[in-house]
Amino acid sequence: MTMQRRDFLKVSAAGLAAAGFPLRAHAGAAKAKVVIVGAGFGGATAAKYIRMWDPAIEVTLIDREPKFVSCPLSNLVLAGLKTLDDITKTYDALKTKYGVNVVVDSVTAIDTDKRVVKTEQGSFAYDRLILSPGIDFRFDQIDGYTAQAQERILHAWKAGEQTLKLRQQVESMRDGGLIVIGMPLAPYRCPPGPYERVCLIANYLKRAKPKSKIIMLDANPDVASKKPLFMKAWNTLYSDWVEYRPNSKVVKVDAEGMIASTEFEDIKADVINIIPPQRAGQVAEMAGVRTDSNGVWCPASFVTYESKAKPNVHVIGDALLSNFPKSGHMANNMGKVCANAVVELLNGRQPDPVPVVSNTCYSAVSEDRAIHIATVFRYDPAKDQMTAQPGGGISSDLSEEEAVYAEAWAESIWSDTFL
Amino acid sequence: MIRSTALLATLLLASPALSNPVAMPTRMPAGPVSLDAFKGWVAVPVAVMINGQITTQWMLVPAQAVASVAAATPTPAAEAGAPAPPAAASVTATHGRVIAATCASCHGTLGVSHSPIPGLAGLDKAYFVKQMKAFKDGSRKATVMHQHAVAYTDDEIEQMAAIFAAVKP
Repeated sequence: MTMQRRDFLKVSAAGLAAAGFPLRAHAGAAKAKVVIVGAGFGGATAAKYIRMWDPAIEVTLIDREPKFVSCPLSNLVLAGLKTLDDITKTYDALKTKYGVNVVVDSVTAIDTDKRVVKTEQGSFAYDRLILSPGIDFRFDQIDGYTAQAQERILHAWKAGEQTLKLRQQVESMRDGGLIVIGMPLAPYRCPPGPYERVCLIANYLKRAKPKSKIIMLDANPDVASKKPLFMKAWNTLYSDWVEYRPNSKVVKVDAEGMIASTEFEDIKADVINIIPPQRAGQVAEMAGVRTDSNGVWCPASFVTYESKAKPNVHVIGDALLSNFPKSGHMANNMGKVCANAVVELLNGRQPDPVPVVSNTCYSAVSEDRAIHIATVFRYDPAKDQMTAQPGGGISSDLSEEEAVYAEAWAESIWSDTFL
Repeated sequence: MIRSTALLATLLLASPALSNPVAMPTRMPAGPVSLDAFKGWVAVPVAVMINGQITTQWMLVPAQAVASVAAATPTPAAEAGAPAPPAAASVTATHGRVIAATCASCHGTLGVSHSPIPGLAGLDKAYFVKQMKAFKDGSRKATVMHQHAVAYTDDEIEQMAAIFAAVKP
């Protein structure tokens, strides 16, 4: 740039001090430190987007697992239509491309006064903490669902090892066997997930074990998601394989005798898959933010996702108390709103005052057809709530075109979250 | 670029900054900052060659010089996949970048698609606006986009269009 020679005489002392050191965008102390617990759709997205929007902020992302296994599309692994590898992602790009400090470890304690997260191997100070811990299961709500029973009666509602184990159970079942799938009262992780699982396991049985059956025991009074489409799939594709029972909460399991019981009957089965009632992950309890009236979910602001119980602690994803569907797509969106809010706040600016987030959720009903639901939520400052906007909805029919989009959606959101 | 060590030393020694030291930030900001003791001046990074090595030094220049240079330099389009420029300075801007980011779940980060779903990066601004309006009024058939487009205001659609148009696909 051109300037007068006299202007060169005003040279900053810092320039002198920096002589010989190339300037990097974040040399020396970081502007601020953000610690994120939970490297799923919520936490990983928040980590990436904070780094994108302000690389002077140091981000540490903690998860107890070294890799991410996707719950979305995991039902296709149960059906033998995909492998676990197809749905597994690494955290490499977050580290090398975005400079996220990824820590594989378990959180042991959170001190929200001193602002420190302790793990088994380390200790991480924060200016802002983002918790995206997902869900934990309330096994205690079902009689007999002890730790030992959990070895045989699987949930496969956190993708990974249990996905493969449940697949093995289904695959090794005799033709003519009975599979019972139990699901809890809403709200729970992934509203359409259990119904998709019924479709896809039925799809497998139809192909490989045609004399077998599935009984679905739904605690809800009716199909809680995409109802007309799932009913159409069961009636037109799987009527000989699927029996759906609403108002049928599982209250007891007997893992020895392989019996699942509702209030009214006991059902003996070859494979029992129970999706238990859920609550926010234990990490939320450690931070003292699992503070709704039942101690189940975490109340937080819809503008910043800052916990209503603890300042500087934000909660996103399934753990949040909200009217949102508990989906990966929502967690990914919340990750962005939260990342932006944290960046703005750490820079002394205002967050987006009227966040808009959306959910686009695909369910496969067979090897070649899928359905979806789409909803946009907009913040209403007058009511301090997120309002579902008019115009959202579901597919008009079971669709081959949407099966292509379902797969594309997964590739896309995985890349947006992890690459 | 200052090519002489001797010249640099002379300039530094002559600098009022040394006789009236100012507490400088211990970390380097990424752009121009205003210093109270130097009202009307801003510090900018300047490439300096000392003994054949190029380093970046901070120098104080009149604020007007920076303003005129900034006005003359158009903002380059972001590289595909590159980190977005530093933060939004207004409520509208911060809202805009978040809603555009929510499109990324299906259309890829910064609209750079990694799937059969169409990318948005680099789309002509007017074209983007026209398509979103067509989804809104149903004249362009879709499986899902009509359910999204209808939820955004015309202003928001303009913002998103501007953001994606500026990204190199």
